[in-house]
Amino acid sequence: MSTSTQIPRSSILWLLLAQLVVMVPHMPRLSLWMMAIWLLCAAWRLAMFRGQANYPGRFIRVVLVFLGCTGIAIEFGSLGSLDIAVALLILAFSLKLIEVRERRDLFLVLYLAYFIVAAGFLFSQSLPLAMYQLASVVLITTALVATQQTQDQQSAWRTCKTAIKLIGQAVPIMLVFFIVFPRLGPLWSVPRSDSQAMTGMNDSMSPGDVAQLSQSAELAFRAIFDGEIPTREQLYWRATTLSFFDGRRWTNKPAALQEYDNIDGWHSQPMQQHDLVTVNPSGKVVSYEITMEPSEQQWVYTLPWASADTDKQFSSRKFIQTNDLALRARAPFYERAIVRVNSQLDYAAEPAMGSYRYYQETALPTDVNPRARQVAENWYRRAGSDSQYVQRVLRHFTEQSFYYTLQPPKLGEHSVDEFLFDSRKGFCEHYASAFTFLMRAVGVPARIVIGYQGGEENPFNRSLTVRQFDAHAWTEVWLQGRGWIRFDPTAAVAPNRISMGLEAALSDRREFMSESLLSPYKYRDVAWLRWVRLRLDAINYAWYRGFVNFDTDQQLEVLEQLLGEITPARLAMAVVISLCAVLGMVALSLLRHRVAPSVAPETRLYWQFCRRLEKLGLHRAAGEAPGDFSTRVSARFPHLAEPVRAITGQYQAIAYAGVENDAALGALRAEVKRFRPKLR
Amino acid sequence: MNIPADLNQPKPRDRRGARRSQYHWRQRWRAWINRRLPPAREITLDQKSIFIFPTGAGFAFLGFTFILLLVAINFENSPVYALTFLLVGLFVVSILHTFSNLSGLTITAAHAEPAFSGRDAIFHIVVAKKGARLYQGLQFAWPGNASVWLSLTDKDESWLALRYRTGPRGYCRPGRLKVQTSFPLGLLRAWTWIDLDMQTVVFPYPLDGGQLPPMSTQTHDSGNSEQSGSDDFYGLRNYIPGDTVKSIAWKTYAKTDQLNSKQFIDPVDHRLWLVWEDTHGDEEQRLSQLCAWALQAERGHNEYGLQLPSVNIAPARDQAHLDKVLYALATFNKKAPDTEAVEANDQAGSIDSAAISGGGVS
Repeated sequence: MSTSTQIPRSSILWLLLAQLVVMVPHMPRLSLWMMAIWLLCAAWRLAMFRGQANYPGRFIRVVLVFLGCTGIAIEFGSLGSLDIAVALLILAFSLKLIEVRERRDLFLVLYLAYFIVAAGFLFSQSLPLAMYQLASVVLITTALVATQQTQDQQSAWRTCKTAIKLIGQAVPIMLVFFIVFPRLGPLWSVPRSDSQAMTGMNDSMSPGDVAQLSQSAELAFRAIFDGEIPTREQLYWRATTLSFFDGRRWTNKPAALQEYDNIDGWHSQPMQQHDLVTVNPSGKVVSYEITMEPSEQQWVYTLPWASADTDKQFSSRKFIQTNDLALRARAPFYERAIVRVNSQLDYAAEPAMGSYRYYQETALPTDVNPRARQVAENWYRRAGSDSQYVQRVLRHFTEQSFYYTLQPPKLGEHSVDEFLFDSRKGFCEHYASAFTFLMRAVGVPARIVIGYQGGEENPFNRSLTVRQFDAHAWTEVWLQGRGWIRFDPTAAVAPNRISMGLEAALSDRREFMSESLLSPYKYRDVAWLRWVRLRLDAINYAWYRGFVNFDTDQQLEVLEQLLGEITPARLAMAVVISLCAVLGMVALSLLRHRVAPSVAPETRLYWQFCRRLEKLGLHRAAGEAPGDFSTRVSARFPHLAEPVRAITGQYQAIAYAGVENDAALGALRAEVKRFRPKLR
Repeated sequence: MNIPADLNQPKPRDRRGARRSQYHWRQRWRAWINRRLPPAREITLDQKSIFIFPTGAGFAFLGFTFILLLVAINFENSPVYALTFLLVGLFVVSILHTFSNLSGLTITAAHAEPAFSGRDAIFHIVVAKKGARLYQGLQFAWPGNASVWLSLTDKDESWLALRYRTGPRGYCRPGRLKVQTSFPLGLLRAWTWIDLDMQTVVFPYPLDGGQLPPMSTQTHDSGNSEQSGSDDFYGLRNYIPGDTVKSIAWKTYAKTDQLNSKQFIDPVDHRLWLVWEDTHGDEEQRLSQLCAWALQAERGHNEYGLQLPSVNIAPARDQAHLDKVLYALATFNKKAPDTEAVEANDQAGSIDSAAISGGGVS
């Protein structure tokens, strides 16, 4: 029968709205022509809705499908398969619109809409997006409700309210499943979304690299300490070390290995000599949790000497401690990940150094920076010891007028010479590079460490937020018997960089975030703006930490909190009880509506009037008409005749004669209120 | 709970000779449903009478949710997990909503309009709800007939006219009425088969019988067949303003001081008799012909009567008379299914169609 498959008209409008809303988050990935195809289909559908057009013929449909597929092949051919899949999904979603004839087709389009919402989450999981997508789901569900309504139901709000109510009741069920459903690993490998070029640390450093990074306010990672947050001077978040210099660029591994991505140099290899690091057993240990943002690198940014806390880690991710005291994951961080770390802050690294290692950490190209070499040799001769020489060099940075800037002049072939003696303008990498060069020039082992320094403490959740502009480069010098000691030449030039952060340290503050005018980080001084930003950041962190990154570890943590001990029986019982509770409440709310009969206010007032008369022993018989009752009362108590007749008359006028206005009801209410019958 | 829903529906003729076992199962199903949901003129739907099962779209939804779950697992994506479980929750919650969209409805049989064989008989029912709950997207249909959609939102009750394509002449019981709904999401279908104990008659299909039979010259004893005429004096009656001056009985006025009018009648019998013997063919053809004649005669100006082998209806001409004649034709040689139902059927006949409200046939 045609009637059972025909589509209610309003559901077409809801469908169009839902489609539009669902596609908005995908706009950046879609090109204009795909939007044009959707607009065409939507316009056609609207014309059909108004009775101005008919279903398009087969030819037009075939042409549209062909054009769409060709367009996708041309446009997305070079991109990952996930983008193609989403593009095809949206194409099918658009084209199906002009083909919807029966309720079945409508269902298909709406299911596709749910799918497109899900696809959006593969590209971003931010809180605003999730809220937007929740609204999309409400709209899709509204369209689904509209398909089941009769044509006479014109109240859009009622339709929407039904959907909202359904979703509201589905949310508790979702939570139960979300918490208890076992998080399995991927069943088969899936295409990842093509990430945009990542800003972040690299495993090499040329002059200008870190300065470039400092233009970005993008989040690098977050840290939450179990106890007190260490002082800013201790917050040197290590990524990796750079020990190989070609006169311009510092790298992590020797030039010979650089073309092999899968071969690590000594520095990045797992530490195997147990005597390489000696830890002071009574020294300070700090425990913290790092939430890594996707960096496409393997380093976990940690305070040395760090080890991953595997006791609380159920996930499959494995970590290694490298020879240069970094913590490295086995696989790059393509997704956000949480790592629990313990750091022994009191340690001595590589107290004894073999001759090959000594060669590695002092090697320099022979033909660059002759002036620096000469000066270094002079200073070293006068210093007497390695540590005094270090102090001499640092004093040079402090005493001479060096300028801490994000926009240093370009340097030529002898970059260290030009920086030290001519321009004297540089960012942390220039200072670190020059310092290391001066050390190595006289045979003192030294290396550059890159990573992040400091971070912003969020008072709302006690987390430390480290952003790309906190990127930093500093140095380590090897001293006989003490091992690698950290020196930060930038601190000598701009002590504020360490104690207060980048913006405070820049000689010209306008340089900070100069490329992004509207960034809230530019206006840190505005108190309320800062408050809003930190508050939002805390919410965002809770969102990612509690929801987006809900994995096996967190699942066990939550379940343990809820159940005390996790046993299959308890788990099953918890699921059954919670689901029953939810469904019972839903059933109750559905039932409650039915039981409570709606009594008109005038009837309620009349009942009140009758109850007052009952005190005099006058009971209105079941089914006795108000008029008859009034006559009976008047006959029995003549003194009450007047008010009883008035009330009854007013009640009858409202209830039976259809006198409907607030004034009449108000008069009745006043009359009943005044009515205090007494036996004379 | 899954009831083979279409067992009650009349099968096309070519499948009538289907296997005995099918007939057997149909009998058992009828017996079972009659025990569970006995026929009644008023039925309030409750747990006992409502069946619920996912629709095709519901199964597709579940399958699709499973795909979504695979996406969530493979991409280890929490929001997709959440969306998946939200959809599962929607499905579970909509079980309750769909069920309660039928539960509590009271359906009452009102009356039925007879129809000519092969046309639609119309059964009027009243659907009522109690309380503030809304009922939407309800479908009502007799087996094998188009559904009528109804929502009870702004009012508490609604009249519905349900069409039923009639078969051969005789008494007509449409069987069990299917009431179903897929509201709110179309994922589940709740339905019930109720027997409202409704019945009507199916008139023979009016076959063109050619010319009406000639006027009868038979004289009949009944006194109510006279028509006022002008030829033979018949009697006196009180004067009614408008009577012609010529008709006033002046002599009587002179004697009694009362104005009386003289009454005359025509001697010619203009009554028409529709007689079984005047028709040809088998029983059904004869009845069809008589039916056509009755309709034709009703449009004419003369009274008509009906003579069947066992039935004799005196001539008259108005809607009630036509109904009586048609009813006689419809039930000729047919046994009433049960007397109670026949009584209920007495109301069948001319219905003021303006009184029927609600539930447009879609």
